[in-house]
Amino acid sequence: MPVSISATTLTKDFSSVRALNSITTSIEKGEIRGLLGPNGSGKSTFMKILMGLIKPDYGHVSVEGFDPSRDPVQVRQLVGYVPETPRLYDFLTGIEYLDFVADLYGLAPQVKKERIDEFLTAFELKGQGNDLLAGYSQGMRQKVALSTALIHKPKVLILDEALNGLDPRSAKIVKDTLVKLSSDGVTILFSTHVLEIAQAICQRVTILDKGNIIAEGTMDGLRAMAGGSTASATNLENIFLSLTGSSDVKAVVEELTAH
Amino acid sequence: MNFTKVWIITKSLLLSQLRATATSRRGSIRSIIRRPRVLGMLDVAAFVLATGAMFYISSLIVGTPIASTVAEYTKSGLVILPAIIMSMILLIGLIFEITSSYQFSSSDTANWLPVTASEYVLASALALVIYYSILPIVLIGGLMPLAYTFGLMQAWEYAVVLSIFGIFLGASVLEIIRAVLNRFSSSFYKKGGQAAIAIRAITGVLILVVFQLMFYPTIYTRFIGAVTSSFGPIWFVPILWASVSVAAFIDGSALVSVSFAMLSIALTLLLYYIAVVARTKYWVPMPPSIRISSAVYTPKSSPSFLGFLSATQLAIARKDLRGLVRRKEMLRFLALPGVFLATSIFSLSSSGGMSFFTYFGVFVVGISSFFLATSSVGSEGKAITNLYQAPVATKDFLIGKVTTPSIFGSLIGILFFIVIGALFESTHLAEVVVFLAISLVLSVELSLVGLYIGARFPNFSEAPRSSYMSQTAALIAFPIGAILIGITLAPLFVAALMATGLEGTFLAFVGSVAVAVILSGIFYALASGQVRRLLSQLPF
Ligand SMILES: Nc1ncnc2c1ncn2[C@@H]1O[C@H](COP(=O)(O)OP(=O)(O)OP(=O)(O)O)[C@@H](O)[C@H]1O
Ligand SMILES: [Mg+2]
Repeated sequence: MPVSISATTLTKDFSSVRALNSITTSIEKGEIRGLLGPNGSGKSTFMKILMGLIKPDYGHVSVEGFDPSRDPVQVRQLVGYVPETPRLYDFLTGIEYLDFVADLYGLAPQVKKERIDEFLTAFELKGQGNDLLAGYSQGMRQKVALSTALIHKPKVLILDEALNGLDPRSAKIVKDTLVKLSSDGVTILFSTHVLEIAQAICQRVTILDKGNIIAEGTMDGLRAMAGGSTASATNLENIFLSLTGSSDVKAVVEELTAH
Repeated sequence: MNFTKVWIITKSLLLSQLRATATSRRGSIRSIIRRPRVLGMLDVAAFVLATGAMFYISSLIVGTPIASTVAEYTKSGLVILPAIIMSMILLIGLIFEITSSYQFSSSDTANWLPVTASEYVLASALALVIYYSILPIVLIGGLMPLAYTFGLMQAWEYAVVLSIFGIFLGASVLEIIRAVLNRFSSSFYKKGGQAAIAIRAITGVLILVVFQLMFYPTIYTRFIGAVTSSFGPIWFVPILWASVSVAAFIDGSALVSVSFAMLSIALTLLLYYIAVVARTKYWVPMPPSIRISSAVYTPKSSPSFLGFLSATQLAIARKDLRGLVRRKEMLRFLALPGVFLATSIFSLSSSGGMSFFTYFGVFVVGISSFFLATSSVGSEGKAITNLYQAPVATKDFLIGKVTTPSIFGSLIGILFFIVIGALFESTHLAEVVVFLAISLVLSVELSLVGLYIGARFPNFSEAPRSSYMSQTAALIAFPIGAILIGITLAPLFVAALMATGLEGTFLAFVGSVAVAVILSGIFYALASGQVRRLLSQLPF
């Protein structure tokens, strides 16, 4: 399988923190890769570097053959991205905003119209299309952000906790869409804290902790890593907790609720 | 009132302003002033510099024939000081401070922490005063040596005390404007559609212009001067009470002086009280949901006169234009030409006839484009990520961003010169055309300059205040804009001074256009480099 995204010895420091510590990984075309890890482990930083939004201090990344820090515009043309906290233009209506983004991607007017209609219908936003985004609920905003990531039929999708705030129906639509897109050859890098989602749709999973890749592989592979076939290692939550060394959850809860 | 709380809020407001421009290590778009203490040190330095310079100048003046004239000016300066400082704070506040968007004012910490309206208003006023303290300090410091030289030291001290109240008067008025704008723009939520948006924008502009006019001292002195030509009757203008008091102090009439000082202080307290009430009553920080239209979506094709723009450039320009008329926090830019034109038409002498108005009109066109352009990067706020994650090239960003301020300035220019043309139609049509043309050129030039400054010193903070450019830029912007307009218009000035006639004017016009083209080229290159640097990495 050809490689779509690759990173070699990728390192990024923020003044005192090392956000990424010599990350090396590669993602195949058409793969859905789950990116897991505790808060502050470097997931968003990795994704921003892939988008060319921040520059690595050391190492190299390539997205569909382009170096995002050198050719950001080419990379962004090929990639659809949903940031952690999407920021929309509140003074535009939903339709105006989608139209704006479609123009940035250079879509032809007719294509634009079709795509926008499709997304509004799929996400049940038809009735609110002409309302200012300022009045949208959080989930509605997330739907708009997802629509903009998909509107130009990207070859790669980078989704940073993109299912946040979606109702079950929309989440299901997005998950099914991702699976469908992946079978059409779209590469998807997907970060989430909801381990069931990762378990359900990701072919492979990368677990980051404090900027290091501590585990990577298929569900079966990870299961083996986390202690063979013992009962506790059968689902991703237990694997995750045992790998990231956070199996002391019970003690913490007791501490927090102590009087 | 809990003054510890007030101070804590003041500090947090200040810090959020000062640190707003913190950016990536490599992006290095930092403001030098990052701590309130540095701000204080700068104030001291400015004071020392201003007094030093003026001490030197006054030592040169003493004993020369102009000494008595300067002494008279010093007296007038002291008299008008409190009023000038008040309106200065007001104008600065109007341009840089006035509003933040609903999205952020609703999540403003002050709304859910136990803070009373009076504490918040006082803190907000204090933060504003401290943030821009350098300007009044230069004025006050510059007057001191003159006052000392001419034996007016006590009057100076007196005027400074009253000026401090003047500052708070200005800051209180700003708080009132904030509350009023909140109130009126929220009343448009229930309605919707393009018409409501338009009415909202126009009403907002009117409110800002009227407030600025109401608190603009020279208007009153002009107006009164026209009636009586003495300072006597200004006692019935409340915002000049402090000035009356200083004048009386200099004349030695203690009773008049004290009573007007009391009146002036009472006025400040009253306005502060009104500000508190207005904030309590009209604070409605709910994000508005407005239905813009119910029409079925049809993708727009570009308007033909902008056909030379690419789809991306046009998309950015159209978005900014929509923001300009729809965003509450952009009202001040929309109102700027009105504020400038109204205050000057009312306060400056019209004896210059048409040529004075034309120059002033051209200036307003340039400065309006300029300020709008300086805001065009910072006003994106964090939503600028939209432009980072889409395939937007440096050139598209630059041209897209310059288009809206250019169109805005050009529209102001066209409107202005249609009026001027109608007034002076038969005699000066050729001249009107020349000045209209130069104002269009100037609006593009100053948009480029403004974009350069905006991209060099952006301020992306959205809460609790949004000034869109760093403090450094806020202080240097106006002089830079004014000087560049002056340089561009210089050939026309010279032609006017030499009374060269129509032919000379045309020649000078060509000269001015040439200057504008050169400056535009320079600033295009500068802005290009700056935008490239800006876009190379997310700035926050
Ligand atoms: N702009 C920044 N300035 C300084 N430090 C940063 C910046 N962005 C990220 N960091 C630091 O880098 C580390 C990784 O952050 P990142 O946002 O990538 O984590 P994450 O895995 O996405 O976490 P979360 O699950 O909470 O979203 C953290 O320690 C964070 O404090
Ligand atoms: Mg994250």
